[in-house]
Amino acid sequence: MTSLDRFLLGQFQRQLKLAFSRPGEILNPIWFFMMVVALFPLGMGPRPEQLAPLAPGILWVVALLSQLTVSHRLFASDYEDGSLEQLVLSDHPLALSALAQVLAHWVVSGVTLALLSPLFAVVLALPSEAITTLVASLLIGTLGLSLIGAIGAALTVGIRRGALLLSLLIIPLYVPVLIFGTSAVVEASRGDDGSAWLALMGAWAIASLILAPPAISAGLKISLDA
Amino acid sequence: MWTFIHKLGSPPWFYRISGVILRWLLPMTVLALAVGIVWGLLYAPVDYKQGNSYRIIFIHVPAAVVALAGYYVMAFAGALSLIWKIKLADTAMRAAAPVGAVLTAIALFTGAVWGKPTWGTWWVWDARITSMLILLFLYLGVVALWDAYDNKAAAAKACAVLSLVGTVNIPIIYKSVDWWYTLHQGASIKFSGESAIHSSMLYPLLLNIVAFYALYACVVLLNMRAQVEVDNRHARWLVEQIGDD
Amino acid sequence: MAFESWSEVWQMGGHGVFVWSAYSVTLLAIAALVIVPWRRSRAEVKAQRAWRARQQGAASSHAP
Repeated sequence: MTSLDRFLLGQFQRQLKLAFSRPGEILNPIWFFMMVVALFPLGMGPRPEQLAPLAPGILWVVALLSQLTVSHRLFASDYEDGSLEQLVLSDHPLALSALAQVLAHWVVSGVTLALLSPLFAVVLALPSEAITTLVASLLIGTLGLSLIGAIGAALTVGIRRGALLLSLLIIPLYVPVLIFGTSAVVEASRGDDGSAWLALMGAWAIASLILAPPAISAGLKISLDA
Repeated sequence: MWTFIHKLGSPPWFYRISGVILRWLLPMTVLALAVGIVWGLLYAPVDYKQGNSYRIIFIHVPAAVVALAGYYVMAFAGALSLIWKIKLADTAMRAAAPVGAVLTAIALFTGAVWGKPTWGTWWVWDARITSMLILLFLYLGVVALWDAYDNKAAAAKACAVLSLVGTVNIPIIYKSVDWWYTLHQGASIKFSGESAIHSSMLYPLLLNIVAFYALYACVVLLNMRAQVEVDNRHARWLVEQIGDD
Repeated sequence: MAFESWSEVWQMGGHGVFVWSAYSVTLLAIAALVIVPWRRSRAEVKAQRAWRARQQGAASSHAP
Protein backbone atom coordinates (compact mmCIF):
# COMPACT_ATOMS: atom_id res chain seq x y z
CA MET A 1 0.00 0.00 0.00
CA THR A 2 1.47 3.30 -1.05
CA SER A 3 1.01 6.48 0.87
CA LEU A 4 -1.51 7.63 -1.73
CA ASP A 5 -3.63 4.52 -1.21
CA ARG A 6 -3.51 5.04 2.55
CA PHE A 7 -4.42 8.67 2.13
CA LEU A 8 -7.40 7.91 -0.12
CA LEU A 9 -8.61 5.11 2.15
CA GLY A 10 -8.31 7.45 5.12
CA GLN A 11 -10.23 10.10 3.23
CA PHE A 12 -12.96 7.60 2.43
CA GLN A 13 -13.20 6.38 6.03
CA ARG A 14 -13.16 9.90 7.42
CA GLN A 15 -16.16 10.82 5.27
CA LEU A 16 -18.04 7.68 6.31
CA LYS A 17 -17.34 8.36 9.98
CA LEU A 18 -18.42 11.95 9.56
CA ALA A 19 -21.68 10.85 7.95
CA PHE A 20 -22.46 8.27 10.60
CA SER A 21 -21.77 10.78 13.35
CA ARG A 22 -24.62 12.85 11.94
CA PRO A 23 -27.33 10.27 11.13
CA GLY A 24 -29.66 13.02 10.00
CA GLU A 25 -27.61 13.48 6.85
CA ILE A 26 -28.21 9.84 5.95
CA LEU A 27 -31.80 9.60 7.10
CA ASN A 28 -33.17 12.88 5.80
CA PRO A 29 -32.99 12.00 2.10
CA ILE A 30 -34.63 8.68 2.92
CA TRP A 31 -37.43 10.47 4.76
CA PHE A 32 -37.73 12.80 1.81
CA PHE A 33 -37.96 9.86 -0.58
CA MET A 34 -40.61 8.21 1.56
CA MET A 35 -42.74 11.31 1.98
CA VAL A 36 -42.71 12.27 -1.68
CA VAL A 37 -43.59 8.71 -2.66
CA ALA A 38 -46.52 8.95 -0.25
CA LEU A 39 -47.71 12.11 -2.00
CA PHE A 40 -48.39 10.30 -5.26
CA PRO A 41 -51.21 8.00 -4.07
CA LEU A 42 -52.65 11.01 -2.23
CA GLY A 43 -52.52 13.05 -5.40
CA MET A 44 -53.57 10.43 -7.91
CA GLY A 45 -55.81 8.08 -6.00
CA PRO A 46 -55.03 4.81 -4.26
CA ARG A 47 -55.95 2.28 -6.96
CA PRO A 48 -53.00 -0.11 -7.51
CA GLU A 49 -53.77 -0.57 -11.20
CA GLN A 50 -53.38 3.19 -11.55
CA LEU A 51 -50.17 3.42 -9.54
CA ALA A 52 -48.35 0.37 -10.93
CA PRO A 53 -47.71 1.63 -14.48
CA LEU A 54 -46.36 4.92 -13.15
CA ALA A 55 -44.34 3.39 -10.30
CA PRO A 56 -41.00 3.04 -12.21
CA GLY A 57 -41.08 6.67 -13.26
CA ILE A 58 -42.18 7.94 -9.84
CA LEU A 59 -39.54 5.94 -8.00
CA TRP A 60 -36.76 7.09 -10.28
CA VAL A 61 -37.77 10.74 -10.35
CA VAL A 62 -38.07 10.84 -6.57
CA ALA A 63 -34.74 9.05 -6.13
CA LEU A 64 -33.17 11.63 -8.41
CA LEU A 65 -34.64 14.51 -6.43
CA SER A 66 -33.59 13.06 -3.10
CA GLN A 67 -30.03 12.71 -4.45
CA LEU A 68 -30.18 16.35 -5.54
CA THR A 69 -31.15 17.49 -2.07
CA VAL A 70 -28.01 15.97 -0.58
CA SER A 71 -25.45 16.68 -3.27
CA HIS A 72 -25.07 20.35 -2.40
CA ARG A 73 -23.81 19.31 1.06
CA LEU A 74 -21.11 17.12 -0.47
CA PHE A 75 -18.25 19.60 -0.11
CA ALA A 76 -20.01 22.25 1.96
CA SER A 77 -18.75 21.37 5.44
CA ASP A 78 -15.20 20.83 4.17
CA TYR A 79 -15.39 24.20 2.45
CA GLU A 80 -16.63 25.93 5.56
CA ASP A 81 -14.08 24.49 8.01
CA GLY A 82 -11.14 24.94 5.61
CA SER A 83 -10.26 21.26 5.18
CA LEU A 84 -11.03 21.59 1.48
CA GLU A 85 -8.25 24.11 1.16
CA GLN A 86 -5.85 21.69 2.82
CA LEU A 87 -6.97 18.97 0.43
CA VAL A 88 -6.19 21.22 -2.54
CA LEU A 89 -2.79 22.15 -1.13
CA SER A 90 -1.79 18.59 -0.23
CA ASP A 91 0.59 16.61 -2.43
CA HIS A 92 -2.06 14.09 -3.39
CA PRO A 93 -3.98 14.62 -6.61
CA LEU A 94 -7.21 16.46 -5.85
CA ALA A 95 -9.17 14.46 -8.44
CA LEU A 96 -8.50 11.25 -6.53
CA SER A 97 -9.18 12.58 -3.05
CA ALA A 98 -12.40 14.16 -4.34
CA LEU A 99 -13.30 10.79 -5.88
CA ALA A 100 -12.79 9.08 -2.51
CA GLN A 101 -15.11 11.63 -0.98
CA VAL A 102 -17.78 11.14 -3.67
CA LEU A 103 -17.61 7.36 -3.28
CA ALA A 104 -18.15 7.69 0.46
CA HIS A 105 -21.09 9.97 -0.26
CA TRP A 106 -22.49 7.39 -2.68
CA VAL A 107 -22.24 4.61 -0.10
CA VAL A 108 -24.03 6.76 2.44
CA SER A 109 -26.78 8.17 0.23
CA GLY A 110 -27.12 6.09 -2.95
CA VAL A 111 -26.51 2.60 -1.66
CA THR A 112 -28.81 3.02 1.35
CA LEU A 113 -31.52 4.43 -0.91
CA ALA A 114 -31.17 1.54 -3.36
CA LEU A 115 -31.29 -1.06 -0.58
CA LEU A 116 -34.39 0.49 0.97
CA SER A 117 -36.17 1.06 -2.35
CA PRO A 118 -38.09 -2.29 -2.36
CA LEU A 119 -40.17 -0.90 0.53
CA PHE A 120 -41.31 2.02 -1.57
CA ALA A 121 -41.74 -0.15 -4.66
CA VAL A 122 -44.20 -2.35 -2.79
CA VAL A 123 -46.11 0.68 -1.55
CA LEU A 124 -46.55 1.86 -5.15
CA ALA A 125 -47.66 -1.60 -6.34
CA LEU A 126 -44.64 -2.15 -8.56
CA PRO A 127 -44.78 -5.76 -9.85
CA SER A 128 -42.51 -7.89 -7.70
CA GLU A 129 -40.49 -9.23 -10.65
CA ALA A 130 -39.22 -5.68 -11.27
CA ILE A 131 -37.86 -5.13 -7.78
CA THR A 132 -34.41 -6.65 -8.31
CA THR A 133 -34.02 -4.56 -11.45
CA LEU A 134 -35.08 -1.47 -9.51
CA VAL A 135 -32.48 -2.09 -6.82
CA ALA A 136 -29.78 -2.82 -9.38
CA SER A 137 -30.62 0.24 -11.45
CA LEU A 138 -30.62 2.51 -8.40
CA LEU A 139 -27.35 1.01 -7.19
CA ILE A 140 -25.57 1.70 -10.49
CA GLY A 141 -27.45 4.88 -11.30
CA THR A 142 -26.86 6.68 -8.02
CA LEU A 143 -23.10 6.24 -8.50
CA GLY A 144 -23.36 8.28 -11.70
CA LEU A 145 -25.74 10.72 -10.06
CA SER A 146 -23.32 11.30 -7.19
CA LEU A 147 -20.41 11.87 -9.57
CA ILE A 148 -22.28 14.31 -11.82
CA GLY A 149 -23.84 15.99 -8.79
CA ALA A 150 -20.35 16.41 -7.35
CA ILE A 151 -19.31 18.45 -10.40
CA GLY A 152 -22.18 20.82 -9.73
CA ALA A 153 -21.46 20.81 -6.01
CA ALA A 154 -17.81 21.70 -6.67
CA LEU A 155 -18.79 24.59 -8.94
CA THR A 156 -21.37 26.02 -6.54
CA VAL A 157 -19.83 25.32 -3.13
CA GLY A 158 -18.67 28.91 -2.70
CA ILE A 159 -21.97 30.46 -3.75
CA ARG A 160 -24.49 31.51 -1.16
CA ARG A 161 -27.85 29.85 -1.75
CA GLY A 162 -26.14 27.53 -4.20
CA ALA A 163 -28.53 24.60 -3.61
CA LEU A 164 -31.18 25.69 -6.08
CA LEU A 165 -28.56 26.75 -8.62
CA LEU A 166 -26.97 23.32 -8.32
CA SER A 167 -30.29 21.72 -9.28
CA LEU A 168 -30.60 23.96 -12.33
CA LEU A 169 -27.13 23.01 -13.51
CA ILE A 170 -27.39 19.30 -12.85
CA ILE A 171 -30.94 18.22 -13.70
CA PRO A 172 -30.39 18.34 -17.49
CA LEU A 173 -27.33 16.12 -17.06
CA TYR A 174 -29.40 13.58 -15.13
CA VAL A 175 -31.67 12.95 -18.13
CA PRO A 176 -29.83 9.91 -19.57
CA VAL A 177 -29.68 8.05 -16.26
CA LEU A 178 -33.38 8.74 -15.64
CA ILE A 179 -34.22 7.31 -19.06
CA PHE A 180 -31.98 4.25 -18.64
CA GLY A 181 -33.24 3.58 -15.11
CA THR A 182 -36.96 3.90 -15.77
CA SER A 183 -36.70 1.96 -19.03
CA ALA A 184 -34.98 -0.92 -17.26
CA VAL A 185 -37.64 -1.04 -14.55
CA VAL A 186 -40.51 -0.66 -17.03
CA GLU A 187 -39.22 -3.56 -19.12
CA ALA A 188 -38.71 -5.71 -16.04
CA SER A 189 -42.23 -4.97 -14.78
CA ARG A 190 -43.60 -6.12 -18.15
CA GLY A 191 -41.75 -9.40 -17.61
CA ASP A 192 -39.09 -8.52 -20.21
CA ASP A 193 -35.36 -8.39 -19.65
CA GLY A 194 -34.17 -4.95 -18.64
CA SER A 195 -30.49 -5.82 -18.54
CA ALA A 196 -29.63 -3.98 -21.77
CA TRP A 197 -30.65 -0.73 -20.09
CA LEU A 198 -28.70 -1.68 -16.98
CA ALA A 199 -25.64 -2.28 -19.15
CA LEU A 200 -26.05 1.18 -20.72
CA MET A 201 -26.34 2.64 -17.28
CA GLY A 202 -23.21 0.81 -16.18
CA ALA A 203 -21.34 2.23 -19.16
CA TRP A 204 -22.59 5.70 -18.25
CA ALA A 205 -21.49 5.23 -14.63
CA ILE A 206 -18.02 4.04 -15.65
CA ALA A 207 -17.62 6.96 -18.05
CA SER A 208 -18.58 9.34 -15.24
CA LEU A 209 -16.12 7.57 -12.95
CA ILE A 210 -13.33 8.42 -15.38
CA LEU A 211 -14.42 11.84 -16.62
CA ALA A 212 -16.05 13.43 -13.58
CA PRO A 213 -13.07 13.53 -11.14
CA PRO A 214 -10.98 15.97 -13.25
CA ALA A 215 -14.03 18.23 -13.64
CA ILE A 216 -14.75 18.02 -9.90
CA SER A 217 -11.18 18.96 -9.02
CA ALA A 218 -11.22 21.86 -11.53
CA GLY A 219 -14.49 23.04 -10.01
CA LEU A 220 -13.15 22.88 -6.46
CA LYS A 221 -10.07 24.89 -7.42
CA ILE A 222 -12.22 27.55 -9.11
CA SER A 223 -14.49 27.78 -6.08
CA LEU A 224 -11.56 28.22 -3.72
CA ASP A 225 -9.98 30.93 -5.90
CA ALA A 226 -13.21 32.92 -6.24
CA MET B 1 -1.39 28.79 -34.88
CA TRP B 2 0.22 30.01 -31.69
CA THR B 3 0.65 33.59 -32.87
CA PHE B 4 -2.86 33.51 -34.28
CA ILE B 5 -4.28 32.55 -30.89
CA HIS B 6 -2.26 35.27 -29.23
CA LYS B 7 -3.40 37.81 -31.74
CA LEU B 8 -6.99 36.68 -31.15
CA GLY B 9 -6.42 37.24 -27.48
CA SER B 10 -5.36 40.84 -27.98
CA PRO B 11 -8.31 43.20 -27.50
CA PRO B 12 -7.00 46.02 -29.78
CA TRP B 13 -6.48 43.57 -32.62
CA PHE B 14 -9.87 41.98 -32.03
CA TYR B 15 -11.62 45.31 -31.78
CA ARG B 16 -10.20 46.59 -35.06
CA ILE B 17 -10.77 43.36 -37.04
CA SER B 18 -14.24 42.73 -35.66
CA GLY B 19 -15.19 46.28 -36.61
CA VAL B 20 -14.12 45.64 -40.20
CA ILE B 21 -15.86 42.26 -40.28
CA LEU B 22 -19.11 43.64 -38.91
CA ARG B 23 -19.16 46.51 -41.40
CA TRP B 24 -19.43 43.88 -44.15
CA LEU B 25 -21.08 40.95 -42.44
CA LEU B 26 -23.98 42.78 -40.82
CA PRO B 27 -25.45 44.26 -44.04
CA MET B 28 -24.89 40.98 -45.87
CA THR B 29 -26.64 39.09 -43.08
CA VAL B 30 -29.62 41.41 -43.17
CA LEU B 31 -29.80 41.03 -46.94
CA ALA B 32 -29.51 37.23 -46.81
CA LEU B 33 -32.17 37.00 -44.09
CA ALA B 34 -34.51 39.28 -46.03
CA VAL B 35 -34.07 37.29 -49.25
CA GLY B 36 -34.35 33.96 -47.47
CA ILE B 37 -37.47 34.90 -45.56
CA VAL B 38 -39.28 36.44 -48.54
CA TRP B 39 -38.28 33.44 -50.65
CA GLY B 40 -39.53 30.99 -48.06
CA LEU B 41 -42.72 32.90 -47.30
CA LEU B 42 -43.81 33.89 -50.80
CA TYR B 43 -41.95 32.00 -53.51
CA ALA B 44 -41.33 28.47 -52.23
CA PRO B 45 -44.10 26.15 -53.41
CA VAL B 46 -46.86 25.00 -51.07
CA ASP B 47 -46.30 21.63 -49.40
CA TYR B 48 -48.96 19.26 -50.69
CA LYS B 49 -49.41 17.59 -47.30
CA GLN B 50 -49.01 20.36 -44.73
CA GLY B 51 -50.14 23.34 -46.76
CA ASN B 52 -48.58 26.69 -45.95
CA SER B 53 -47.81 25.98 -42.29
CA TYR B 54 -44.67 24.17 -43.42
CA ARG B 55 -43.17 27.60 -44.25
CA ILE B 56 -42.22 27.84 -40.57
CA ILE B 57 -39.43 25.36 -41.42
CA PHE B 58 -37.45 28.21 -42.97
CA ILE B 59 -36.89 29.78 -39.55
CA HIS B 60 -37.41 26.77 -37.28
CA VAL B 61 -34.66 24.54 -38.66
CA PRO B 62 -32.02 27.30 -39.00
CA ALA B 63 -32.65 28.43 -35.41
CA ALA B 64 -32.39 24.85 -34.13
CA VAL B 65 -29.24 24.08 -36.12
CA VAL B 66 -27.42 27.22 -35.00
CA ALA B 67 -28.61 26.85 -31.39
CA LEU B 68 -27.03 23.40 -31.19
CA ALA B 69 -23.83 24.49 -32.94
CA GLY B 70 -23.74 27.49 -30.62
CA TYR B 71 -23.34 25.25 -27.59
CA TYR B 72 -20.19 23.81 -29.13
CA VAL B 73 -18.95 27.31 -29.97
CA MET B 74 -19.48 28.30 -26.34
CA ALA B 75 -17.72 25.19 -25.04
CA PHE B 76 -14.83 25.75 -27.46
CA ALA B 77 -14.44 29.31 -26.19
CA GLY B 78 -14.54 27.87 -22.67
CA ALA B 79 -11.76 25.43 -23.53
CA LEU B 80 -9.64 28.26 -24.99
CA SER B 81 -10.18 30.24 -21.83
CA LEU B 82 -9.23 27.34 -19.57
CA ILE B 83 -6.20 26.15 -21.53
CA TRP B 84 -4.65 29.40 -22.77
CA LYS B 85 -6.24 31.73 -20.20
CA ILE B 86 -7.37 34.11 -22.92
CA LYS B 87 -9.61 36.77 -21.43
CA LEU B 88 -11.24 37.42 -24.78
CA ALA B 89 -12.39 33.78 -24.84
CA ASP B 90 -14.23 34.47 -21.57
CA THR B 91 -15.92 37.38 -23.26
CA ALA B 92 -16.85 35.19 -26.22
CA MET B 93 -18.33 32.53 -23.95
CA ARG B 94 -20.29 35.12 -22.01
CA ALA B 95 -21.61 36.55 -25.29
CA ALA B 96 -22.49 33.16 -26.75
CA ALA B 97 -24.59 31.78 -23.87
CA PRO B 98 -27.63 34.12 -24.03
CA VAL B 99 -27.62 34.19 -27.84
CA GLY B 100 -27.75 30.42 -27.92
CA ALA B 101 -30.53 30.41 -25.34
CA VAL B 102 -32.61 32.85 -27.40
CA LEU B 103 -32.12 30.79 -30.58
CA THR B 104 -33.14 27.63 -28.72
CA ALA B 105 -36.24 29.42 -27.45
CA ILE B 106 -37.04 30.55 -31.00
CA ALA B 107 -36.71 26.97 -32.24
CA LEU B 108 -39.03 25.73 -29.48
CA PHE B 109 -41.60 28.47 -30.04
CA THR B 110 -41.73 28.10 -33.82
CA GLY B 111 -41.87 24.33 -33.38
CA ALA B 112 -44.90 24.66 -31.10
CA VAL B 113 -46.66 27.06 -33.49
CA TRP B 114 -45.90 24.68 -36.36
CA GLY B 115 -47.15 21.72 -34.37
CA LYS B 116 -50.62 23.13 -33.80
CA PRO B 117 -51.83 23.06 -37.43
CA THR B 118 -49.73 19.99 -38.32
CA TRP B 119 -50.29 17.61 -35.40
CA GLY B 120 -53.25 19.37 -33.80
CA THR B 121 -51.36 20.14 -30.61
CA TRP B 122 -48.94 22.80 -29.41
CA TRP B 123 -46.60 20.44 -27.71
CA VAL B 124 -45.56 16.88 -28.35
CA TRP B 125 -42.90 15.05 -26.35
CA ASP B 126 -41.14 14.14 -29.53
CA ALA B 127 -37.46 13.19 -29.33
CA ARG B 128 -36.16 16.27 -31.11
CA ILE B 129 -38.40 18.75 -29.27
CA THR B 130 -37.49 17.21 -25.91
CA SER B 131 -33.80 17.40 -26.76
CA MET B 132 -34.16 21.08 -27.66
CA LEU B 133 -35.88 21.71 -24.32
CA ILE B 134 -32.97 20.09 -22.49
CA LEU B 135 -30.55 22.18 -24.57
CA LEU B 136 -32.40 25.28 -23.38
CA PHE B 137 -31.96 24.11 -19.77
CA LEU B 138 -28.25 23.58 -20.39
CA TYR B 139 -27.89 27.12 -21.76
CA LEU B 140 -29.86 28.62 -18.87
CA GLY B 141 -27.63 26.74 -16.43
CA VAL B 142 -24.54 28.45 -17.86
CA VAL B 143 -26.22 31.87 -17.73
CA ALA B 144 -27.38 31.29 -14.13
CA LEU B 145 -23.94 30.08 -13.01
CA TRP B 146 -22.31 33.16 -14.56
CA ASP B 147 -24.66 35.49 -12.73
CA ALA B 148 -24.16 33.70 -9.40
CA TYR B 149 -20.42 34.40 -9.24
CA ASP B 150 -19.34 37.86 -8.10
CA ASN B 151 -15.77 37.26 -9.29
CA LYS B 152 -16.15 37.29 -13.07
CA ALA B 153 -12.80 35.61 -13.78
CA ALA B 154 -13.93 32.68 -11.64
CA ALA B 155 -17.37 32.80 -13.28
CA ALA B 156 -15.74 32.34 -16.67
CA LYS B 157 -13.74 29.33 -15.52
CA ALA B 158 -16.74 27.75 -13.81
CA CYS B 159 -18.91 28.25 -16.89
CA ALA B 160 -16.13 26.83 -19.07
CA VAL B 161 -16.04 23.65 -16.96
CA LEU B 162 -19.83 23.42 -16.99
CA SER B 163 -20.12 23.90 -20.75
CA LEU B 164 -17.40 21.29 -21.37
CA VAL B 165 -19.25 18.84 -19.13
CA GLY B 166 -22.40 19.70 -21.11
CA THR B 167 -20.62 19.10 -24.40
CA VAL B 168 -19.61 15.60 -23.34
CA ASN B 169 -23.19 14.94 -22.24
CA ILE B 170 -25.11 16.36 -25.21
CA PRO B 171 -24.59 13.37 -27.53
CA ILE B 172 -25.50 10.99 -24.68
CA ILE B 173 -28.61 13.03 -23.85
CA TYR B 174 -29.68 13.12 -27.51
CA LYS B 175 -29.13 9.41 -27.96
CA SER B 176 -30.94 8.50 -24.74
CA VAL B 177 -33.90 10.75 -25.56
CA ASP B 178 -34.03 9.06 -28.95
CA TRP B 179 -34.19 5.61 -27.37
CA TRP B 180 -36.72 6.81 -24.84
CA TYR B 181 -38.92 8.06 -27.65
CA THR B 182 -38.75 4.84 -29.65
CA LEU B 183 -39.60 2.89 -26.50
CA HIS B 184 -42.73 4.96 -25.86
CA GLN B 185 -43.68 5.73 -29.42
CA GLY B 186 -46.74 3.50 -29.33
CA ALA B 187 -48.34 5.84 -26.85
CA SER B 188 -48.09 9.07 -28.84
CA ILE B 189 -48.40 10.47 -32.30
CA LYS B 190 -46.24 8.76 -34.85
CA PHE B 191 -44.39 10.79 -37.44
CA SER B 192 -43.37 9.55 -40.80
CA GLY B 193 -39.66 9.71 -41.45
CA GLU B 194 -38.20 12.65 -43.29
CA SER B 195 -38.86 12.42 -46.96
CA ALA B 196 -36.45 13.92 -49.45
CA ILE B 197 -37.03 17.65 -49.62
CA HIS B 198 -37.50 19.18 -53.06
CA SER B 199 -34.82 21.61 -54.19
CA SER B 200 -37.35 24.45 -54.54
CA MET B 201 -37.78 24.19 -50.77
CA LEU B 202 -34.21 23.17 -49.99
CA TYR B 203 -32.48 26.24 -51.46
CA PRO B 204 -34.32 28.85 -49.37
CA LEU B 205 -33.78 26.62 -46.34
CA LEU B 206 -30.04 26.42 -46.97
CA LEU B 207 -29.87 30.17 -47.54
CA ASN B 208 -31.59 30.77 -44.22
CA ILE B 209 -29.29 28.37 -42.40
CA VAL B 210 -26.29 30.31 -43.73
CA ALA B 211 -27.99 33.59 -42.81
CA PHE B 212 -28.66 32.40 -39.26
CA TYR B 213 -25.02 31.35 -38.86
CA ALA B 214 -23.95 34.80 -40.06
CA LEU B 215 -26.46 36.40 -37.71
CA TYR B 216 -25.06 34.35 -34.84
CA ALA B 217 -21.54 35.54 -35.65
CA CYS B 218 -22.71 39.17 -35.86
CA VAL B 219 -24.57 39.09 -32.56
CA VAL B 220 -21.72 37.38 -30.71
CA LEU B 221 -19.23 39.89 -32.12
CA LEU B 222 -21.50 42.83 -31.22
CA ASN B 223 -21.84 41.56 -27.66
CA MET B 224 -18.10 40.95 -27.38
CA ARG B 225 -17.31 44.45 -28.64
CA ALA B 226 -19.70 46.00 -26.15
CA GLN B 227 -17.98 44.04 -23.37
CA VAL B 228 -14.47 44.89 -24.61
CA GLU B 229 -15.41 48.59 -24.58
CA VAL B 230 -16.49 48.34 -20.96
CA ASP B 231 -13.49 46.23 -19.88
CA ASN B 232 -10.98 48.57 -21.55
CA ARG B 233 -12.68 51.82 -20.62
CA HIS B 234 -10.43 54.83 -21.38
CA ALA B 235 -7.58 52.62 -22.59
CA ARG B 236 -5.38 54.56 -24.97
CA TRP B 237 -5.85 52.19 -27.91
CA LEU B 238 -9.61 52.22 -27.49
CA VAL B 239 -9.73 56.00 -27.34
CA GLU B 240 -7.75 56.09 -30.58
CA GLN B 241 -10.02 53.59 -32.29
CA ILE B 242 -13.35 55.12 -31.40
CA GLY B 243 -12.14 58.60 -32.39
CA ASP B 244 -13.87 61.86 -31.67
CA ASP B 245 -16.87 61.92 -34.00
CA MET C 1 -44.89 33.66 -56.37
CA ALA C 2 -46.73 30.71 -54.86
CA PHE C 3 -49.81 32.87 -54.25
CA GLU C 4 -52.38 34.52 -56.51
CA SER C 5 -53.05 37.65 -54.44
CA TRP C 6 -51.89 39.48 -51.31
CA SER C 7 -54.94 38.39 -49.34
CA GLU C 8 -53.94 34.80 -50.05
CA VAL C 9 -50.48 35.61 -48.76
CA TRP C 10 -52.04 36.97 -45.60
CA GLN C 11 -54.31 33.97 -45.08
CA MET C 12 -51.76 31.30 -46.04
CA GLY C 13 -54.57 28.85 -46.78
CA GLY C 14 -55.95 29.11 -43.25
CA HIS C 15 -52.55 28.80 -41.58
CA GLY C 16 -51.84 32.53 -41.62
CA VAL C 17 -52.08 32.96 -37.86
CA PHE C 18 -49.46 30.29 -37.27
CA VAL C 19 -47.04 31.29 -40.00
CA TRP C 20 -47.19 35.00 -39.33
CA SER C 21 -46.97 34.71 -35.55
CA ALA C 22 -43.95 32.40 -35.84
CA TYR C 23 -42.20 34.77 -38.25
CA SER C 24 -43.02 37.94 -36.34
CA VAL C 25 -41.87 36.58 -32.97
CA THR C 26 -38.67 35.28 -34.57
CA LEU C 27 -37.95 38.59 -36.29
CA LEU C 28 -38.62 40.53 -33.08
CA ALA C 29 -36.24 38.28 -31.18
CA ILE C 30 -33.57 38.65 -33.87
CA ALA C 31 -33.99 42.43 -33.85
CA ALA C 32 -33.60 42.46 -30.07
CA LEU C 33 -30.48 40.28 -30.30
CA VAL C 34 -28.86 42.83 -32.62
CA ILE C 35 -30.18 46.05 -31.08
CA VAL C 36 -29.42 45.34 -27.42
CA PRO C 37 -25.61 44.99 -27.78
CA TRP C 38 -25.53 47.71 -30.45
CA ARG C 39 -27.20 50.24 -28.17
CA ARG C 40 -25.08 49.18 -25.22
CA SER C 41 -21.94 49.68 -27.27
CA ARG C 42 -23.10 53.03 -28.62
CA ALA C 43 -23.87 54.37 -25.14
CA GLU C 44 -20.44 53.27 -23.92
CA VAL C 45 -18.62 54.81 -26.89
CA LYS C 46 -20.53 58.08 -26.45
CA ALA C 47 -19.67 58.20 -22.74
CA GLN C 48 -16.00 57.57 -23.47
CA ARG C 49 -15.87 60.24 -26.17
CA ALA C 50 -17.48 62.74 -23.81
CA TRP C 51 -14.96 61.80 -21.11
CA ARG C 52 -12.10 62.34 -23.53
CA ALA C 53 -13.49 65.72 -24.63
CA ARG C 54 -13.65 66.78 -20.97
CA GLN C 55 -10.07 65.61 -20.42
CA GLN C 56 -8.83 67.61 -23.38
CA GLY C 57 -10.84 70.64 -22.29
CA ALA C 58 -9.31 70.44 -18.81
CA ALA C 59 -5.82 70.04 -20.28
CA SER C 60 -6.14 73.06 -22.59
CA SER C 61 -7.59 75.34 -19.87
CA HIS C 62 -4.53 74.63 -17.74
CA ALA C 63 -2.23 75.54 -20.60
CA PRO C 64 -0.57 78.95 -20.24
